[in-house]
Amino acid sequence: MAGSQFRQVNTGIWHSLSLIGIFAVLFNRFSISAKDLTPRGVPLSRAALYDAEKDFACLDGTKLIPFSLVNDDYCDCADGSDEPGTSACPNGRFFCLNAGHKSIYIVSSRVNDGICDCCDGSEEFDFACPNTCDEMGRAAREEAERAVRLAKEGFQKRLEMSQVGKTYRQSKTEERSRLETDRQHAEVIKDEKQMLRDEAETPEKAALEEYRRLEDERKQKDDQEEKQRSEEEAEDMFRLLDSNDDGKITVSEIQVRQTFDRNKDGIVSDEEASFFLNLEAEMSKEDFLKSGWLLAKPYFLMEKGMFSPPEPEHMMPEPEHTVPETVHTEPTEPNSQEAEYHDFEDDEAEDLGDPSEKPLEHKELSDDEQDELDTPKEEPAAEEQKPKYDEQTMELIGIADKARSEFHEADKVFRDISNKLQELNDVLNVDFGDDERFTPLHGQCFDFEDREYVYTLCPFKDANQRGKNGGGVVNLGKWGSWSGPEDNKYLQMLYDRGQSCWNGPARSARIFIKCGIENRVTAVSEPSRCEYHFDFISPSACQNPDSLVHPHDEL
Amino acid sequence: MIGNLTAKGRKMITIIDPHIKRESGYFLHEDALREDLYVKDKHGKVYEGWCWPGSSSYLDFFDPKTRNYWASRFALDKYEGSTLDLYTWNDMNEPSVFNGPEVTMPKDMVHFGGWEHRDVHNLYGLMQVMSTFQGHLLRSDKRLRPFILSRANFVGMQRYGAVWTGDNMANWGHLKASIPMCLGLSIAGITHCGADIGGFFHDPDAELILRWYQAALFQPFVRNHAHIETKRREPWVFGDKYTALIRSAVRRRYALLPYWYTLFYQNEKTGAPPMRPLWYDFPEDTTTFPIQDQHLVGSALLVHPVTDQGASSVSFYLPEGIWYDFYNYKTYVNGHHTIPVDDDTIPVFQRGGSIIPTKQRIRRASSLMRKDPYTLFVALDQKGEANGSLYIDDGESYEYRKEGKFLEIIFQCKGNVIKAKVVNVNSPFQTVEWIERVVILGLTYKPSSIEGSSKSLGSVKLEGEGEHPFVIRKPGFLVSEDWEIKLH
Repeated sequence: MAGSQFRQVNTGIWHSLSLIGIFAVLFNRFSISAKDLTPRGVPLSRAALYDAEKDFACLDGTKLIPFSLVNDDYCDCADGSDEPGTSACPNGRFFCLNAGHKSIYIVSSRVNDGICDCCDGSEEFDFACPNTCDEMGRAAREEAERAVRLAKEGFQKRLEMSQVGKTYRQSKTEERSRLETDRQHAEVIKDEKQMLRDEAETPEKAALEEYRRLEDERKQKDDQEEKQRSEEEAEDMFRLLDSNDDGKITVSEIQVRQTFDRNKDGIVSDEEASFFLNLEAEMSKEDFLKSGWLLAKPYFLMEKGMFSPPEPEHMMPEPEHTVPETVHTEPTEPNSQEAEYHDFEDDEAEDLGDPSEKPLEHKELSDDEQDELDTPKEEPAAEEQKPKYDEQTMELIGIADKARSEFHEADKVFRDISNKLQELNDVLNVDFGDDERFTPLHGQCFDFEDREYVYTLCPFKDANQRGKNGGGVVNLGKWGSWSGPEDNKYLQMLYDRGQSCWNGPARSARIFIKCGIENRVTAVSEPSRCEYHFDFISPSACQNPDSLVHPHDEL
Repeated sequence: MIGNLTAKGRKMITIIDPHIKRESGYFLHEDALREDLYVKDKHGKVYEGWCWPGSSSYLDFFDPKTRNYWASRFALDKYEGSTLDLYTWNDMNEPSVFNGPEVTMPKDMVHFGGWEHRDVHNLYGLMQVMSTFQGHLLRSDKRLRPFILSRANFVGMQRYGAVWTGDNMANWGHLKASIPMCLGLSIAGITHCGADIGGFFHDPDAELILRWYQAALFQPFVRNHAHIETKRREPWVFGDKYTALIRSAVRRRYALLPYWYTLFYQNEKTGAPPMRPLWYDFPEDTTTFPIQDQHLVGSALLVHPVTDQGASSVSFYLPEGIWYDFYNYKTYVNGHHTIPVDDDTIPVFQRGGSIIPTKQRIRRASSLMRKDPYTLFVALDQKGEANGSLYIDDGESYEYRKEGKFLEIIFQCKGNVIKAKVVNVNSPFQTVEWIERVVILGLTYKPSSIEGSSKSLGSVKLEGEGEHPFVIRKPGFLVSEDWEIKLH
């Protein structure tokens, strides 16, 4: 047994001589295997090209050399053909017979480098490699048989999957033509209802137009009256303030009235007074009517208790405002824009650690709240103003409402059918493989767990990654295309346009599909940053076993 | 994993940093606390900084006790899963502290002997490497040579290991900069220098990585290395064309390993840097002074790698003498030249008057080249003369120092005779290596006959072919004995 474990060295004598030194080193390499008389590293099938009786012609035909230079450990032929059994040529190859296993060629650089590459060890001749061919051959045969068994079982399942796929496509195709007919009908009805609606709306619109005109007129009149009232009020006020009746209001005339003590210190200062005179010393009646009144009016109203003032800083940039504190002590009033404004300020003042994000979020939220609160307020107001219509108009509105609702219904039916059709078309447009064999994977998802993550592949949809210790779901890519080699594109799927990596590209995943008797993700890796590889087995990737090489076809 | 890798003659190097994760239950951290091995702050409290594992403390390599502890951890029975084929790369050893001032330790941290960090900062990396080196020595009972790579370095680093130029970027400017950076280090005595091929940050395109390989393979330390967030960049990921081109460049490096090895032997003996500026060998030629886009490898090779994107030509300067293109054998003389370049061109010139030993056999790993034969490149000067040398030992042990187990061979070509002479006759070093081929450049005549002789082969008639180069076929002399070849 021990003897058969080791390869027969070409000739025992050369081997023992190699221990002595130079002669063995130089001459061992000339040797031709005594066993079969073909030069070392040449298969029997090519022995005729190496005829020891003749000069050797390099196989590329470029050179003729004495046969003694074949395997003499010096490269003479450009194609490396003179040194099949040594490492002398950079482009040579060595034939291992590997009896009991598969014969192979190895590159010359592996000849006599101290590492056993051929299972029969024939490429190492300075020491003896163990012969592992029987063992490897047996394992390889078992593996090949297993592969055939797997392929048989898998292929059967593939045919079933394919049948499911074909049936699916057929039924979906039928459903599509059915829906297309339905959609045509629905469209006709929808168009009809639209016409009816338009017809009903015309008289309704005319009647309502009349009401709207009347309303506008009334409003215009009201505005006019309001304006006039305001002007009269202003003139009254001017007369009141212009104590000396000289047609001008001066600072001193303002200062006698406590109404204008803006900071409530008991004195109307020059500054306070001139504020109302547009920072001038005096103001003509004309200017007062135009602008002075607008400034003064709130203070008069306030005096009468009809108006609470906006906060000072809204009116002018006063430096010393104590208002935030005041507001702080009051209960926060979410409906009041003022209160929000100050909340925001408080945040800023207190939360120095995070000056940017939080207040902004807070503000956005408040705006939304405000919008929500505004909307319902307006509607009842509008309702109240709605004029009452006469009976005839009410009837027109009733007819139009009914026509509108009928149209909406018809339109909804049409849109629902269209959406269904769109979905159907999306599915029918997917390439589920020749023979529709990948169809059953559609709508399924397959998980794979490693130490840190759970990966999920939903064929024809997307691929995801989820951290086991929390963290959200990361999309590794959406279904893109089949991306296998040109002659067999169904060996690989590409999911792209996934979530972008920080500072990097959008994630993508390639799915490598191999034959198996079940559908399963067997491994996931990230060989390059943000580029994921899934190994997936599926019967749909199994080839017809009759097309596989039979294990005992080997040499 | 180590087993799988090293089964084909390759080695493995793993990264080990000087910061230690502060985690109870982690033996190293607990040992360090118990035995007082950490750097401390001015109050005597163990210093805590932030590095890769999070909260970390830093071993005080200035303390002999720490160095001994650290070295002892490399023993094969202590370093779990390690073998003699596993070597070490010390990184982050400036030391790097993410939350420290200038990304290092505060200046008032205190080291062994009461020295503040400000006084010893630059030495810290060296002290770590020293200790790592000691650990590798001890694990083989001082029999085998360590290999240590370090990012931090200081005067004296050349005794312990190789350095690289740090975290560079994938751009042409950084490729160019790798030459003056390693020249500077070489002249300063840190001779085993290289830059990350392709650039550490960002992604090189195929052209940049190819040109970077071509340049780097003529620098002392060769490594492709990149940030974890870059794309894969192994030589085979840029398509078949670039795989073949990079393979071609890598093979040229392997062929020249005997020459590099000899240069590093000389470096150990004299300090002469293997990679050197032109002025090192041509101190009289002022034109060479500012040149930093080309360099010498030893005194026999001049390299001007292509470092420009889309380059179709390269301009270079050759100092005094005759120069031969190392790959197409074209002859040049002193002066400025411009030559066309294609994807596979690495402009490398052999100086007339030199002899370079190479190994032309292709192998998977340099350790598998040990028994392979030599091809000598004899480049003749104006007088038809040339000289060179070759140093050989077992490539891994200290027997060359302790037992004189090495061969130093001098080659000389003069008056139509090429001679090899073993300098250290009666060396106990044994080898089966032999002379496969002698390539002569610049021969002015075609010899009518060639006669070789050595003690064991006696007198033999040899064949030669070609004119320039003239190739002598298979002299077959053992490299361990004197021989000569006469051209008639």
